Amino acid sequence: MQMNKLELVSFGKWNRKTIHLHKGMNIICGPNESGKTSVRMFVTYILFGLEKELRERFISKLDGQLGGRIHLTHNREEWTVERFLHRHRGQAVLYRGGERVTEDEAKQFYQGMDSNLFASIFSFQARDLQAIREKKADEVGKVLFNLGLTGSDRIVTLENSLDKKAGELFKKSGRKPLLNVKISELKEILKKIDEVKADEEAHQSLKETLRHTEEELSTYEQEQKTLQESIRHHEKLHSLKTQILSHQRLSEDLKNESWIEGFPPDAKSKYDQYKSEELKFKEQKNMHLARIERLQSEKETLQNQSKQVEYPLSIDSIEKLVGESKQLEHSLTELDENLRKEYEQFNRYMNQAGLSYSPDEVIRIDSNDYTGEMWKDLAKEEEELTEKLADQQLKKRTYEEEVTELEGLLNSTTKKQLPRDEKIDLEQQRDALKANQSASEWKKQLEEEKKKQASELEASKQLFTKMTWGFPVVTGILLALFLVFLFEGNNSDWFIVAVVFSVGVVGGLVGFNQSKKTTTKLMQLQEDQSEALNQTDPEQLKNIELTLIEQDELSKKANQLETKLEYAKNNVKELVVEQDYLNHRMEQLEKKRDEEINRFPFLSATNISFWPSLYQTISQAKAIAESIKNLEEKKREQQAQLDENYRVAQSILALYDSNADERSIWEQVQNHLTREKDNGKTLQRIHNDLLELQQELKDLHARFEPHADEWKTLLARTNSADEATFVHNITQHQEYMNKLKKREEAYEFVYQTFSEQTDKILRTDHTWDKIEEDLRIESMRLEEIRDTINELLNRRAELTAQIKQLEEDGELSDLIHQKSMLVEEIRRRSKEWATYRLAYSYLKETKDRYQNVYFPGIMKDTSDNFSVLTGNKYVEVQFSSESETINVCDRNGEWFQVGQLSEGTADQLYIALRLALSKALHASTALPFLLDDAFVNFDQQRKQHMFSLLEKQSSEHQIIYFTCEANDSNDKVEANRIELTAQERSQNGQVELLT
Amino acid sequence: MKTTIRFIHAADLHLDSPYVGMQNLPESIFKDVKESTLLAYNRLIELAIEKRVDFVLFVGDLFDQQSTSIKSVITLKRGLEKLKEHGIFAYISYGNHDFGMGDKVDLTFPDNTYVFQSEEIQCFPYNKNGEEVAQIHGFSYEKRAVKKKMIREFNFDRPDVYQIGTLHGSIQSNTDHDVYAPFQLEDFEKHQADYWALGHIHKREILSENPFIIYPGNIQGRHINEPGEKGCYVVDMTPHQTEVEFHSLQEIIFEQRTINDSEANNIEELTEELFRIKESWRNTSHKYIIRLHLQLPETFASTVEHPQIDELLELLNEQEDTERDWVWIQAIYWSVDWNYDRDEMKASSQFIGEVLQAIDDDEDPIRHLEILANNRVVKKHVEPFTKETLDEMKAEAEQMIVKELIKDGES
Repeated sequence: MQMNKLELVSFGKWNRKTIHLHKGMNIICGPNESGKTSVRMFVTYILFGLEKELRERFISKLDGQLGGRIHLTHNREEWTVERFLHRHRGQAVLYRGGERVTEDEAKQFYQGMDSNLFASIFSFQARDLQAIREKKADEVGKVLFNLGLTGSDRIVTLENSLDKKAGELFKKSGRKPLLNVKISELKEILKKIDEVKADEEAHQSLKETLRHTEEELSTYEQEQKTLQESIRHHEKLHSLKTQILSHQRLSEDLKNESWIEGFPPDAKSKYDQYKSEELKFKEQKNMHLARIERLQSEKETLQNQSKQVEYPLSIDSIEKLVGESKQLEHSLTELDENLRKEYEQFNRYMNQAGLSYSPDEVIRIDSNDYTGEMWKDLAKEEEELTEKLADQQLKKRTYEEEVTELEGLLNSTTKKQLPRDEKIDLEQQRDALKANQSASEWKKQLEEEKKKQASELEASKQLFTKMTWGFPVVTGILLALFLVFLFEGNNSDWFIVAVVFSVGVVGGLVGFNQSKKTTTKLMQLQEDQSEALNQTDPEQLKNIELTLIEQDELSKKANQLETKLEYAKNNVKELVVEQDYLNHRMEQLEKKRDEEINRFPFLSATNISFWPSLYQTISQAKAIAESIKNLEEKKREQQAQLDENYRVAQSILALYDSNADERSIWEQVQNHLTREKDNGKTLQRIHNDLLELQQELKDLHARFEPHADEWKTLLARTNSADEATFVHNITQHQEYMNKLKKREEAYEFVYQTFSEQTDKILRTDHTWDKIEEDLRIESMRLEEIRDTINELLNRRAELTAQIKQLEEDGELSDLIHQKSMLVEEIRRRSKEWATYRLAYSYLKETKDRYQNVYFPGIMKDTSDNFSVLTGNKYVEVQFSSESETINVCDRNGEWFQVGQLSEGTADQLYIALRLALSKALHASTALPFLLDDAFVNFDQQRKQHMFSLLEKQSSEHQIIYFTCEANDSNDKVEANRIELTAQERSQNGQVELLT
Repeated sequence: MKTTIRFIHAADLHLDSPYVGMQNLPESIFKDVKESTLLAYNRLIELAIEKRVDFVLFVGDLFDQQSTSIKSVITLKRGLEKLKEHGIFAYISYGNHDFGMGDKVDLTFPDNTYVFQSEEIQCFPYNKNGEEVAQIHGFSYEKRAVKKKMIREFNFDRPDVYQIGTLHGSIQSNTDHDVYAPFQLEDFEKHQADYWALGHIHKREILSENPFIIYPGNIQGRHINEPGEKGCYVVDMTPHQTEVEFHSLQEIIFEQRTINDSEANNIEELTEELFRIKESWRNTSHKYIIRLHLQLPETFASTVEHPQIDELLELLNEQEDTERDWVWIQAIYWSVDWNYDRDEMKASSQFIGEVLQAIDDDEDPIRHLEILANNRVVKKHVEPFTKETLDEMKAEAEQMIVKELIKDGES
């Protein structure tokens, strides 16, 4: 490919600029900032495009455009590559011979070219060298080596990173990488699984052992049971040894006592029964006899004590007498009490009557109902008279006082009255004054009349004033009217006017007269008034009138008083007559009183007014005195009876040895009577009891009779001659029975333990020593077995626990699940590792192939280039695939590693490599080689070497060299030189501005 | 006249066998995972009791040879004891995973349990109310593989009772599954069985409905390729018809989920989005283990780095161990659209072309990985990389290189 023309339509600072390029070497010169890099980027952009960020840096500030064309020759055909940011979506458009090509053809055009390759091989700048220099010395070789392979150090970077990543995951003999860790974890788990598996597999055998153990256990337990039973039997026998032996011995004993079999078995009980009956009989008999004796003596005592036979009267009579006497005593007491009360009453009356008579004396007073009535009348009359007299006296005094008072009043009234003359005077005065008063009233009326007349006069005067001028006017008018009418000749109208006129004249005359009259009247009135003005005042008149009225009243009053006084004096006279009558009656009454006092002297001590009550008292006292008399008579009779009874009682008491007794005689007698009665009853009872006891005694004898008979029979049955023999036999029999009982007890004891085996056990003649020995041996054996069983039980528990633990533990299960997870992790990590590893391997493999296929040729060219660049100082370049580095040999045959070379020499080696690479790749890709100020740091000689090499290369390969050094070391080089000056000056017509 | 019977058909319990493909589980979730198969088994027992079934069929692979723990055996036995208490019978056959278990553990079961002892077809009668109402035919594996076509060995000659065949095996094909009592669907037609209870295949499937030929699948999924609900069938048989009803038993559900409408433009947005989505998945009746496939917008996808996704995964799962109904994101897969013209790149004589060529030429990538592959522990316990995995890794390795080497821009 050869670029012929760059059309920078809009790119960076460039606008519509064209750069013509030649075949071979092109040197584009320009100072810094003249746009060299823009041109280089333009080429990249048009051919391959640029990333957005980079692209935007070059958008023209003039028109916001980006784009242009490159005209080039490729495979001997003319091509134009065009790219504009805003056309064809920023894609390159290709023209061949002016014709736009298809996409496939475009693809064909780009065969073997890409931006990456362009950047890494065909584009070269000073920065690349700088990058190399920044590498560590030992890496430089590696980088150069890789560069030699691919033209880029990215491979080595990737390779390293892949290797590192893989290494982080797994290393063949590492410990830390993740997979190594996981694998060892897996190993651990596997180991554990084996262990636990072995444990779990032991589960089976454990169960088997457990089964065996349980069988063994059951055998031992069986034996233990048998032994325990045997021991229990032996122990039972041993514990019943005494009982068994006793039973056997008693059985032996009883065999020899056969006679007893005929002995009535109830003999003893019957004997005992008889004995007890006998005893009971005797006891009862004795008891009865004793009681009879006691009753007999009691009877005698009682008979001795009784005095009843000596009583003067029968007991009942005496008892009646005693009751009567007690009643009498009581009656007497009551009588006394009544008497006392009557006397008290009597005395009270006496006191009341003011007398000191005994009852008898009172009875003897000769008073009766008539007497009572008489006394009552007298008292009443006396009271009446006294009362009337007192009344008279009071009235008389009242009237006398009234007369006195009236007389006083009359005197004072008379004194107040004026003498007759004075009064007449006053009356005259009064009349005079009254006349005056009426005159003044008339005058007042006159005044008012005058006023009225005056106003009337005024009104008339006014009317006349008006009339003085109205009259002539009216008259005139009327006259005129008259004349008019007259002349018109209407007769009736003339008449009317004449009448009206006449009326008017008359009216006027009347009015004038009235007015004249009134004036006259007024004048008259004024005269009247002036006369009345000289009269007295009314006050004086009033006083005089009052005084006169008073005098009239006083005289009226005096008349009344005189009348009253007359009446009062008459009353006093009447009273004196009445008093005289009353005094007469009083004298007669006193005469009668004195007569009564003569008959009943005690009356003298009493006011007559009390006589009726005195009579009452005496009558009541008389009644009580009678009562007293009766009571005393009754008392005397009863006392006589009581005394009689007392004598009889005394005679009875004398029969007994009576001690001083506080009780009344009647109670004592009553007491004796009661006792005598009781004694009688007791004696009767004792008598009955005795009879009964004797009968019972008989009965007792009768009841005991059969027992006695039976006893006799019993003696006969037991062949006992007497009671002593009988008792002996009984004892013998008793002993026999006891043995029998003991034997039965022993049997019962054994039976409780052995039940139905008992008879057999008792029949057997046991060897007790052997039994004890057996028991000892068996016990020992039992102990042994117990131990064994315990041991087995422990073992069983242990096994069960072990099995249970295994069953519940689940450790193996856990481990297997863990293992599964771990395996999965290893699998995934392995995959990850394997991917890195594969990538790494492929990279490495390709590199190896490169080494063998391309590298020899490249190394040859590199050697040549390096030789030229170093002025034949170094003659050969070789690579070492083992250490992945490049070694160089100088002309003296000495080998150096890259790290040993000077920086400049290493740069030269790098350039030599790049040039060799570009040459190697040129065949297929044929891109131009762009160098951007690549050798600024080279000295003159090196630059010359450099340019000669480039010149040589440019014969086959278009080279575009950008530099800021206008004419230094390259001036000898045959090249198309393009100056990028500020003026954009055209040189050799190669650079021109597009228009 | 036959009476009615009801039974449960289950298979492939794989009691207490570990999950595959799980890592870095927090303690509580790990515990749930460990116990999930046992829990599912306990649920099966409860279901049997609740449904008052007559018997339960366990058609092979009750355990895993490699991971039989006492815990699993004890759990199995306890369940069988419980069935016995309720008068329910059990019929067990061993499969390719639990053959010869008796040598390792004590497999004496309660007397309600019948075990097919050998590779000879055996027949157990089932009596109901003292009358024989069904016959259960079956066999057990005695070694890892049974190549014989066991289906041909069955003989059903009692049409008066229900005839049930149990078979742990797989459809004949040309793959390696052929070592498991292979059969073809036509084989069943030759028999008069009323029900075929199959085992071995973990995916639930009804192969035929007349008679029913059923794979109940396993009762608890154990890896991402055993997704969805897992359980057993309750079968009701009357003289005229058979009805089957599936009952899920699993504790944890495996699922692969794809999110293809993500609008995330950066990792923060993605994180937020995923948290939201994850919460929407949370469900009170199940715990979830989910493999997530993301299809991210292109601009975003190209910037996503592996470690970021790892971090995101960690973040998403961080709080799950505190949840009762957890949702565990097992892995996140995301597609990277790394577009480059591979052929063009290869055709150029550049280094990259050479690399691509080398990758393409590599028939035996494992040779690069021998230092790990030959590790004794890894070799024994970690499954070797499959060809698919190796291809996947090759592609990823290529991307790593290309992405790095053709990075644009000026150096």
